[in-house]
Amino acid sequence: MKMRTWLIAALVTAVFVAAACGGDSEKSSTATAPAKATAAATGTAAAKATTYPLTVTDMLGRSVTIAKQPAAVAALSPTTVEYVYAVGGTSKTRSASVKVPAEATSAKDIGPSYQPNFELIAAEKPDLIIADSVLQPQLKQNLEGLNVPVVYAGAQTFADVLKGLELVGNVLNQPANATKQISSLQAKLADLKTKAAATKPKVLAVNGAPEDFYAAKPESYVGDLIQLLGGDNVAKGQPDVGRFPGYTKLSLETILTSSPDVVLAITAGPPGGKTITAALSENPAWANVPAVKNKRVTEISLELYLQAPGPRAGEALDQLAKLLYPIGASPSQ
Amino acid sequence: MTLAAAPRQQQARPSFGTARLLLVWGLPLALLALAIVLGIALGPVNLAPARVIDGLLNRGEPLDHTIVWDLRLPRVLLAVLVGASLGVSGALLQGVTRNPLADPHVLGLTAGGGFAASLALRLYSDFPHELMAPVAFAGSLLGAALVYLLSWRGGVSPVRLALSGVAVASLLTACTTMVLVTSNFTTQAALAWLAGGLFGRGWVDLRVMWPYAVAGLGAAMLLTRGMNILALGDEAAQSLGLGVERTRLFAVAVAALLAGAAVSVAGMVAFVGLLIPHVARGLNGDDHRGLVPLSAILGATLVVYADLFARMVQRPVEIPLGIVTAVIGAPFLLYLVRSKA
Amino acid sequence: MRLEARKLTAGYGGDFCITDADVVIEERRVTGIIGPNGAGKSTLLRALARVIKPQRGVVLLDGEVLHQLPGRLVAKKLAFLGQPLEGVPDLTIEELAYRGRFPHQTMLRRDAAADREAVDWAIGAMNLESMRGRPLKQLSHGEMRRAWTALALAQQPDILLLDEPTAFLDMAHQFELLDLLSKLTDHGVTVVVSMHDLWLTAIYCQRVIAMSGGRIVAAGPTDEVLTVELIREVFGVEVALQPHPSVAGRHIALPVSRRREAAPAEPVPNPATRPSPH
Repeated sequence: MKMRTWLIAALVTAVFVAAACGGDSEKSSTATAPAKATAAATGTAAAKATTYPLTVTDMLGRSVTIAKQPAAVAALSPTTVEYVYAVGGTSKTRSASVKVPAEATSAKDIGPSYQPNFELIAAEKPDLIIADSVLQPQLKQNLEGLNVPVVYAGAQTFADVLKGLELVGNVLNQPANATKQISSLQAKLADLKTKAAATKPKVLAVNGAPEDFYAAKPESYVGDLIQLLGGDNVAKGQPDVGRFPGYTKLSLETILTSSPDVVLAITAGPPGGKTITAALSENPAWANVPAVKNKRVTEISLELYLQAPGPRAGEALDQLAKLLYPIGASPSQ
Repeated sequence: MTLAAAPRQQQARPSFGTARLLLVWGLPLALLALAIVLGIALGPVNLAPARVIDGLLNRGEPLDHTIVWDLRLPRVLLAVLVGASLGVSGALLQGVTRNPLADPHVLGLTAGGGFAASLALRLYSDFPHELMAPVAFAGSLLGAALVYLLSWRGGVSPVRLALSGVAVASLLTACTTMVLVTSNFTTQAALAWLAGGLFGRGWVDLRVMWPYAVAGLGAAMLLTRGMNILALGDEAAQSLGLGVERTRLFAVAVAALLAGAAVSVAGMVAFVGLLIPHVARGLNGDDHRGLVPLSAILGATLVVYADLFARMVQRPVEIPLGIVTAVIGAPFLLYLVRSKA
Repeated sequence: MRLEARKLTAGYGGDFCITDADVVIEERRVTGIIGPNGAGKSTLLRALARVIKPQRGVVLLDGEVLHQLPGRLVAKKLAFLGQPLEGVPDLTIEELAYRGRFPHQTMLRRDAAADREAVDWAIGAMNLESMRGRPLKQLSHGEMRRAWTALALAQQPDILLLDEPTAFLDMAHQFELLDLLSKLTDHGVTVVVSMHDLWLTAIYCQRVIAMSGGRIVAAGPTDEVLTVELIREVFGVEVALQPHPSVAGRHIALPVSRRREAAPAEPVPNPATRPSPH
């Protein structure tokens, strides 16, 4: 009888320990590591036409061979759709939440990024599928089962965007367009950096709902852009928590002691609901935060900064620069 | 010395013979066959019947073959196995616990499978597909072992089994939630199936899972006579020479195997194991020799229809399978409860 | 088919209900186990029937340790019927009786003719012919008990052990059941019953085992065991014994009130009693 009690206790403890053994962060940004490594090589190669058959390494590190120039491309997420159109191609498919570019709205809606409908994808008879390396790596096996070459591209950082443009441009035989986009983005960033004020602001970027939001780390897309512009992210160094890569949870005390100068908020909720910005501005606990005192709490676009990181990074950088450095912002607005 | 029994109306159970056979077996089988046909013929992409057949026989457009053979057919077959497994698992558990509210979900078996699977994915982000089924099965067995240990006191009484099951279900579901909440994004995406569904399931999954399901279903058939005796009460079963504890243990283990197999591909789909045995009992009666196979057929039918509904009603978006089974099942169960009371 | 217990100690969950019991069950007789509530009748019966395991001592069937014999083998020789009788309201009497054939059926071999014969006999013996097809939920108490007894009979046991078979039955059915059980002994079946009713025990049982406080106080032929002294010792009541008017060699026990009513003229004349100190 005693033995049995110990056995039960051991079993229950083991179960709890196993479940709890997960406070430590998993190695984040596995998807982006290869992208970062090759970022340096971006943009320096001259734009030469693609020759087929073409073998590329996609952004999941997979080696993919494309037999001939793709005639029907299926891009499966907002980012990949934007890549395709940015280099001058067209996609037969789009993800449910894609609104930009306008030409893409006539493409076939195949459902949400996390659960695209494979039948509808197959029905478009694509000869190339471009899937999202950040949002859709777990669908690898299913997509490969459609017997069409699958290239993974995505954007977790600014460098990823450049890499993605190059990759997609290469694959679609639009290297010139790709190079143009890449150079334009690089120039924009360089320009904004020179105009940035000397004193770096402390920045907090959050995403979620007023009662439950996550803070963007430098490893997230918006965090990366902020970092490139010289902002000092109060959420750096924290472990990954939650549904989006590169986000963490900060306690209110941590936020208060870190005194951010600027707060950027992405409220992911039904339109017309309360925004994080409104909630923070009204909340007396936040009244002494410099950002709130100086009215530098701003809502930023869910789509631009979270759902569809990609070729519109230039627009994003412009917006952020204005928010981070209201004085001394780029005159070319 | 015989005392004449007081005259009473003859109310022997009517046996309609062939008509009854048709109702009890023919109708469910026909419904299942129809479900399978519809599951293959219907989908977000509209295919005329001729193209569906061409696709099956791989003699038309390769696209049709891909859609029908690679996407729809394995999914329908998986739905059949998942439904059969859950239905039979529920029948076994209801028999063993003598509790009409028992099913693999309530008693912690699916939670055990889900916990093991989520733990595996959390620890190894690139966990191979082929190991999912055995891992889920191991998890269900562990859940069952915990339930058994907690309810053992010189033997396992049906009441204690049911109570321990509920407790373990809560415990393991909480642990699964803990794993999910602390896991990063990619793990969460991979774990979307935990909510219940056959999205993205194909031949790979079927190949891995079918031996477990078939083994479990076969073992359940071997148990039916023992279950019939167990239903008479522990003492009567003992008197008839049945190894009562051994039979109960075996039944729970088989129920765990079936639940694990189902969870490994379809996540935590509740309700099927709860509802289906009642329907089967209504048609067939308590004899397990008919109850078990009928539960398999009815369970398969329910899940195939539910999966079809889940992927069609709001296409291209898919609704979680568990929600559909609950929506179909709950009113039916309420009706059963009221008609019995 | 010799059933005996030696130094048997048994109980439920760590409690010893009966201690150091030595018992030999006489073949082809009806043996009644009597005693007040809590004396251990049910425990003894169940230990003999292999429903519970002895904690100390042994139960032997034909010299072999009962609990080490395979269950199915024992089930062909011993049948036990306890209460309550539960669980399968939709089963018909016939279907229930067929369940009793379980010990005789294996996966591979099944003798349908033997099964049918046994079931028919069992149903006939319990006078349930006319309602074979009736489901259990439509039966009265008495009919239910007979149906379950038919189940036990269908096992074709050599020894039948019944726990309080006459409980909740009205008098007519009590007589009927015990008559049937007596007739069974003519067919070679040994019957062991635990009994609450001394009256019926005295008439129907040829052997009696008297228990009190977990121990066997006396065992043997009914007339020798059922004495006024024993009844006083075991039950704590005072009785007078009278010869049965019609059954030779049997006595019936009549209770004697301890309290005298408004003083009768003289004490009730009864040669068999002695005034008892309370």
